Amino acid sequence: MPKFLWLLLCLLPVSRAADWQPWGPFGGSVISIAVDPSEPSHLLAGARNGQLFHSSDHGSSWSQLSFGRNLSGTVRVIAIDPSVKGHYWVGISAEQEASNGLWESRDAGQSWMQHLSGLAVESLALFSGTIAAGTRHGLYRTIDGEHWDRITPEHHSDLEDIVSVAFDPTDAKTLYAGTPHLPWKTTDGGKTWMAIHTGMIDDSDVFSIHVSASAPTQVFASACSGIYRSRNAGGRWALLQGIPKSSRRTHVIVQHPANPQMVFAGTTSGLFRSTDGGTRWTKLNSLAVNAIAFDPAKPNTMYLATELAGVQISTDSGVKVQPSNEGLHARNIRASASFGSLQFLSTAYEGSQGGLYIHSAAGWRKLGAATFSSDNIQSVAVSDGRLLVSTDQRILQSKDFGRTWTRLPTQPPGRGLKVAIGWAGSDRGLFRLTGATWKKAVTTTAPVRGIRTAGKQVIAWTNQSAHVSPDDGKSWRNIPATGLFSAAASCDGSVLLAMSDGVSVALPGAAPIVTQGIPPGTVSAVAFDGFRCEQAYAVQFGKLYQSTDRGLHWSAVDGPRTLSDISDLWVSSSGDDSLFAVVPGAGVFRLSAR
Amino acid sequence: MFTPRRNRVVLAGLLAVSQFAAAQASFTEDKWSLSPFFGLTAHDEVHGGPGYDLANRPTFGVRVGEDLWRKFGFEQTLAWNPTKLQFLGPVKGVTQPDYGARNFRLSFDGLYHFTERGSRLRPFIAAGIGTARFNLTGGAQDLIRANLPPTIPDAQALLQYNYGGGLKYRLTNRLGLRVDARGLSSHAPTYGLATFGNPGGAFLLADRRLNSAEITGGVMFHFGGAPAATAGQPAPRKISKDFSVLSVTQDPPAAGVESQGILINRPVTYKATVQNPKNRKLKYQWYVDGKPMGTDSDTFVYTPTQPGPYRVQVDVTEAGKDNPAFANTPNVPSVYAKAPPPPPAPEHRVTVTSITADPASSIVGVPGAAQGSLTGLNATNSIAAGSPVRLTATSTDTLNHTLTYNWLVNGTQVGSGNPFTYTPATPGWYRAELRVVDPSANGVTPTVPAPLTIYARDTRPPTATCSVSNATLTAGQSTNLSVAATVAQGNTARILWTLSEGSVANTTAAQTAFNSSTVNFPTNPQVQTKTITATARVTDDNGATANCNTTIRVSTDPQAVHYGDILFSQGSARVDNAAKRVLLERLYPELTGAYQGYTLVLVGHTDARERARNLDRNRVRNTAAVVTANTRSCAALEPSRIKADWIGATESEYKDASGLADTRGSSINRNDPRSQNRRVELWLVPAGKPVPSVVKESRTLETKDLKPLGCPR
Repeated sequence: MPKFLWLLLCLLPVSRAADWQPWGPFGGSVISIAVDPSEPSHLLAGARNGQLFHSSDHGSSWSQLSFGRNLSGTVRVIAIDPSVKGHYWVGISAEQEASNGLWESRDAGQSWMQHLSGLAVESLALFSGTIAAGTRHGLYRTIDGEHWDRITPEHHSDLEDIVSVAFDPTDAKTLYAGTPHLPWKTTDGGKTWMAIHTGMIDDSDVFSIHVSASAPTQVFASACSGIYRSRNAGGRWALLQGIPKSSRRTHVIVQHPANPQMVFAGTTSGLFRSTDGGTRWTKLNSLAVNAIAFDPAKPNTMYLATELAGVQISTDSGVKVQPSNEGLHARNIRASASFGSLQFLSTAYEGSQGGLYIHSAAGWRKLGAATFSSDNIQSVAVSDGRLLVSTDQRILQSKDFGRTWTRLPTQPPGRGLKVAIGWAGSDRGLFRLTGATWKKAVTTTAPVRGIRTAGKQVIAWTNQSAHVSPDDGKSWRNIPATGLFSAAASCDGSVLLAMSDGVSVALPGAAPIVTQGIPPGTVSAVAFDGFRCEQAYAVQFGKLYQSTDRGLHWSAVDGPRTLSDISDLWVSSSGDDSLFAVVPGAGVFRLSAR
Repeated sequence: MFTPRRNRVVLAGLLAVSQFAAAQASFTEDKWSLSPFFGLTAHDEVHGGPGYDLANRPTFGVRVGEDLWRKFGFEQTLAWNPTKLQFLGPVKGVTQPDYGARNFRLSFDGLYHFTERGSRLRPFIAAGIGTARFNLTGGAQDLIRANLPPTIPDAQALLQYNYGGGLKYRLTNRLGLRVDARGLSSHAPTYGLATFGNPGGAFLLADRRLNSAEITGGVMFHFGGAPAATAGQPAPRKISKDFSVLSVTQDPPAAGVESQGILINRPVTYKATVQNPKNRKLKYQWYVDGKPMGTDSDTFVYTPTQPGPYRVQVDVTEAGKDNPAFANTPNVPSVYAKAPPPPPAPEHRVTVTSITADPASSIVGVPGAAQGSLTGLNATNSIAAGSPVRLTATSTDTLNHTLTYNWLVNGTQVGSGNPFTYTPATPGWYRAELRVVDPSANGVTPTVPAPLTIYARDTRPPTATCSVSNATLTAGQSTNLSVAATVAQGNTARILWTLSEGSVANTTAAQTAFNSSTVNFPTNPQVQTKTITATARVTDDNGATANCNTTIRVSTDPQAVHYGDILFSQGSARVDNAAKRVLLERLYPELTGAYQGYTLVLVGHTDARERARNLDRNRVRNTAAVVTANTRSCAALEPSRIKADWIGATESEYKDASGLADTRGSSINRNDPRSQNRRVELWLVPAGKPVPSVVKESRTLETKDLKPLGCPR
């Protein structure tokens, strides 16, 4: 391409698609799940970070529903009104009270109304038009969907945190309430409550209560102390002995909707099934199950909401399960790297369900599953023929794009390692790999938070300053930047600094200057286009800004929605101008160029 | 001589004359007449045999007429026509002399007149039948006898009919003139000359006809008949004995002199009172000055249109009978119609009847009535300053003069014309007056209507200026927001605050407190700053708005967060299931989610009565093992993210976060202060931030210490 055309192209802002699209890898922790009884192809799945997903194709694909604003917390419980299509109830339990409450939608998730505002909702049960919601501050009930009454007594310490609730299917006034300390029961709609823990180990956190629809006096309760069954409506409990006595937390227990003798127990150590009403149990898999839902039209089809493994579908009553998470983005992405059309992502705190992923034309593929199953990857770096990852205290490399991994012969000192090709950072400073040894290049006063290279440009930053070398480490320039979140170096030597009070740009050889166009406030991530040296991006509280002059002037990018938060941002190195953003707890989003 | 076509011409002429005569004045309705006449009779030739011709010679005669009906009558005519006979062909022995001949005729004719009796002209047609006597003179007879022996000439009387018409012209009631034209037809007389078998002798064929024409004129003497009618007056009639007109009244009554006459153009009602003992069906015909008018009624309403005398008459006849003899013509008085007196000269007066305004809402009333208050003035009862008002006056002038309109506002003339457009430039009250002048009446100034009051609204848009007392806040702090608003005169400013985030105490107050505690920041261990935009919208009564905004910079500097405490049984370091719920179901997801940049700090306590050694340390280690063991149900937090200390019975703040470790086994009573010290404090400390002050010695938990604990039950 002629040079002038290239320059002209660089001056043009990149035209972007309408919105961020979830990109993957999909999956993550799903806390709650429900099937629409009136339309069994429709499902809801709740995750952390206030994320609620909807599927209209039996869970094959998912899309996120918006509450109208960003919510934090966990979508703990979901209930769908069987009599009204698209009538959803979603309970959110969060540390921030603003997100807490029971959210209701009557239009299949298009709009929401908040009930029990400020109360962390832990459990939910429906009986015709009556709804019971267990919160951290008591059990509430409504009979008209609008007016709520607390039906557990105030100032009763044992009936404060209601973690599970169930109706007697024959009587709306009879409810079972599970607390972190034993279950309770009312037969008069909450006027009086009785402790029903005879036969139950005292220290029992009752995660789940299930009342048999075919024999309402038969009640199951799952607790950390085991699984219990009562044949007299909670009058006496019997610890089921047929399940292994290993330590587990049974989050859910439920009967097969068409076969009462088949009972499922979703635990932290796997899915268990009994086919004789709970006497003998079989472990079907090792998935950490948070919730179970059945297809009312095909009772053998069940949906598992799992910890870290997303939604799993079984069509044979749990014997075989398959993940089905297309579009469900609840991954905990920490590190990224780009090499040509290849994208590398690593997860954190996902154990064997997470690790290092590569995206190529063939889609997503997990790399080195065994190698990283117990380590949280801190950073990823890639160059031609070489792939590096750092964990807390070690750096591994692969020369065959992840098939095999070896630990570098020598490791840089310190913890919290961050790695780039030829460079590493830790709480001890910035190091350069020379031959087989690491030599300190820069002494930092705080742990290195990231390293980026662009040609001979090297930039490493802590939360207090950026260290920039224009000549591959021969000389260094220290740019103090209090509250530094992120930094980026352009292919022509400019440096962008994303800081707690805005974004600064340091042109080659010049002092940083405050840029214009972005309101004063925290900028959490910045990125340069590797091909268009003057094209830069910045994110402020999830809102994307764009600059065509190295970051001197910014303008908001119209079209893409404001994401809840963005912790990392980069431009595709394949030249297709795609922009990628990491949203904590919600995976990676891609903004394609038009 | 006379052809049918010629007869038709004569008839048409009579008809034409009759049309003319019908319009003529009437005379005495004569009944009898005697009319001597003189004229000429022309005869056609008679062919057959030698043939002959009667010479055209004068005719004398007299007619006696009987006009028994209005248009039909009879007449008897006696006429004498001395002539000569001439043979048309040679007759043996005859030397072709003229033979004297005498024709007498007596006919009885019927006449139909085209006008009524008494008319001046009376065209008519006539037809009749009679006898004609044809005779030769004695000398002629002798001559024939001598030349044509044994012929004996003789007179002949033949049936003759006549037809034709004429015109009668009355000179006086008794004397008139007339002309007649008649066609006569009879068998041709042979005079006894027919001889057979005498070659060359005179013979006349008996079957030939003689046609003649007779034109006469004469004098008519009329006799009898009704008295002659005078011009403009119906003909005298015979008064009926069966009914009579008693009187004709007039309303209003007036005499026939000018001084006492009635007015023109005002209706006068006439009524005829008729005595009709036999209840004849009567017909009324009213006349005004001889002209029939009105309807068939005993009442007649007439409206004279011209001044002067006029005469009203009524003709009452018996209905269905044409004979006027039964009519009754009373005498009615003549009256005199006169023009009404001219109205008095009108008073010259100019009146302004109304003034309208466009827009109509601009007129709000008289001054003083509305000036007291500006409240309620809006687009429906006032106008905007700078907007034109079009004033239109409606006035009357008894003399229809062209008027001049002068407009005054607040006492000063501002223009003239009608309509007049005035534009109040500035807000306020305007007193508009109108003075109408008739220039052609030497300064006649008519009435001045009540002055109008116009209120021109202040339409200046509102303004707003925002300010904040402290534009830099730490999250959770408050500051005061103010808006200085100006609105148009008489308007009330309504204020509405909106915020990009955060809240204000009163969204509609000019001054309100901004609270930053609800400003949302992503969980992050670093300092964050957010610019909050507070916008005040000022709205006036007209709906006009002005906006201003101010920004507030809100920062959050994360510090160590006391997440809460988990409690332990007396003398025990076991993490019970209630505490595990806190650690595994709530805290661990936070540490691996939003709080990834935080360090978990554990601070162990013991109750002073607890004697077990290292109980506080073991409680911390067990707690750490629950979140780090990564086996069975325990979590997989890196031990490097945990800092710890154990401080024995040292008291510190106990935090019973809602739902946090508030349930326990029977050995724990959270209301017991000693139980509250059997605990491990849970702190979340941002990276790079100091640990809480309760920590005396920040310790790192070594893997080798935790691993033997496994996942505590």
